[in-house]
Amino acid sequence: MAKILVVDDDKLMVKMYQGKFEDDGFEVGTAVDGQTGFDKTIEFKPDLILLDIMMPKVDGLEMLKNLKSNQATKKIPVILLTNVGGSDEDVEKGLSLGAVAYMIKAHYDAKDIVKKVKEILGGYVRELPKAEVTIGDEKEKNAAASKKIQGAKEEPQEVQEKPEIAQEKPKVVIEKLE
Amino acid sequence: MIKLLKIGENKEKLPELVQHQGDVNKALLNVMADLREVSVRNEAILASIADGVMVVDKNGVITLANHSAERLLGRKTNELIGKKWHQILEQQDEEGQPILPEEQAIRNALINKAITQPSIPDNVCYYVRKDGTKFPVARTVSPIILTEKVVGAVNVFRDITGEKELEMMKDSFMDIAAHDLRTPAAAIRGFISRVLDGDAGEINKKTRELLKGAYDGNLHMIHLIEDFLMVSRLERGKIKIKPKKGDLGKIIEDTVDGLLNLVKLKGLKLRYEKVKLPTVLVDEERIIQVLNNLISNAIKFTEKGSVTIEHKISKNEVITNITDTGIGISAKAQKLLFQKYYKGDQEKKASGLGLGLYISKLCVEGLGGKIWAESQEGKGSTFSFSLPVTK
Repeated sequence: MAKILVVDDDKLMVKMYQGKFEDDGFEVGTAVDGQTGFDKTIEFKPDLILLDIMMPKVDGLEMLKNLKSNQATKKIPVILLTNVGGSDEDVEKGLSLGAVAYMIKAHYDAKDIVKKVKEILGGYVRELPKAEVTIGDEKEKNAAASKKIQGAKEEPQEVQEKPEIAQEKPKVVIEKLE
Repeated sequence: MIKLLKIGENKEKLPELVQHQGDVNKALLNVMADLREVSVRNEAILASIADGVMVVDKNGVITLANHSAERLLGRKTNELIGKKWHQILEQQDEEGQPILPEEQAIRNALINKAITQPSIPDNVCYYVRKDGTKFPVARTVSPIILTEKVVGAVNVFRDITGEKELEMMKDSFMDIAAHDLRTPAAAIRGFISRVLDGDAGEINKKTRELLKGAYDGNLHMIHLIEDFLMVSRLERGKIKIKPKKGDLGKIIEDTVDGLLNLVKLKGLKLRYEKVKLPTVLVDEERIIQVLNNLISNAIKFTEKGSVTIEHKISKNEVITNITDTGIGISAKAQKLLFQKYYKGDQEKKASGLGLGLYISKLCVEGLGGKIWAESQEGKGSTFSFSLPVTK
């Protein structure tokens, strides 16, 4: 059973996500700020962390920095799940700090979050590092357009751990004999 | 008037000369007194200018610094006069990175005769005081030109800490407002979507209908929040519109693809007459936004018929026309269409803050293009935007 840690000071949302993930067969741990969130990560050893940004004591970005600079925690994929920001700058900043995705809570249904988590745990390359500015029907329109247009472009950053990706093939060097 | 005379020759003329000399001396003294008065007055003026004033000669040596410059920089005048300007004016950018003398305005004035205007709120530079603290400045630097040669430069600068704080408050207000509004909206969306997904058991048709109403209303509000945030960011310059060479035709094709379902639901035809286009500068995300806005508007206001997208190409620009066979727009409304918050004739029926077209206008104009509309009430409308062709 996969383990998810939800770190968010909004108890209502935590309850909502927890219920959804548990219904879907995940084991869910929770924390209300960046400090207890970090401690809980060490103790609970989640497979993925859903991390809010605006939290008291230690905020999400601080906790993310801590996670990524700690041997024991740096490999756990982190999704920034927040209602703050969402601009290209915010997303770039979050991703550069090591998050695999930046999602605005208000832009997704509960099941969309579960879908995203499963994709990441399943080793899929994460989507384009761009903020999804529009939501609902338009999200699909824009995402479809975006994906098609940019599908050919190189994906600059990939999920840090891909458990199911094949090992790199050994290179064979053929030396020409004089 | 100095008359050179051999004193020996004209002894008789001596008293006359002495008298004359006395007059000259008096005149000289008067002129000196006048000059001194002018000088004192100028100094008084300089001292009362609330902005810092600093003058350098053509070698960049500070020759004048007024009282405000002293105060703002935390240095005494005698610490300033005679020094090279870059020894004193230590500049940093927003992130605290030092700005090199080569990149600074005074150098630009002395070498290139360039005038630098203050640029707020972007690219604000900071001066560092003697005690190491820094403050944001708005400065105007001009070369001093005498007979077409640069003989120095003058820098007039002021501390804009107050203005910056106001800017930051405006910034954070919008971001905080967006966050605070998104929070309850996210909760409503999360919980209702769970019920609709059957997480609380199967629901009957009526329940679904009622809940969907609530869900859609909430979704609508989320769209409004995003529109508001987008306008705020565009206006504050937080979203840089980045023009790059792009394939407009492909972008339109893909956007149209994404809207086909919507069109099918209304029983309309949506057609894109694609042709080979010259390369234009686009910012993909922004153009997608504009296209979605214009095309979905066309669909929204058309009950039967079609929405057609086609181009007009000229040497300098590519025009994209989106024509619908919808209800059209009154002449009165046409003038106000692209204004912020304008919702058109259908004031009550139209949903939204009236920001979609305004956002589209900002995006198109940010790419160097124009946006406009033509319409006939009852017959339909054509919304058009142009993009400049790039070499």
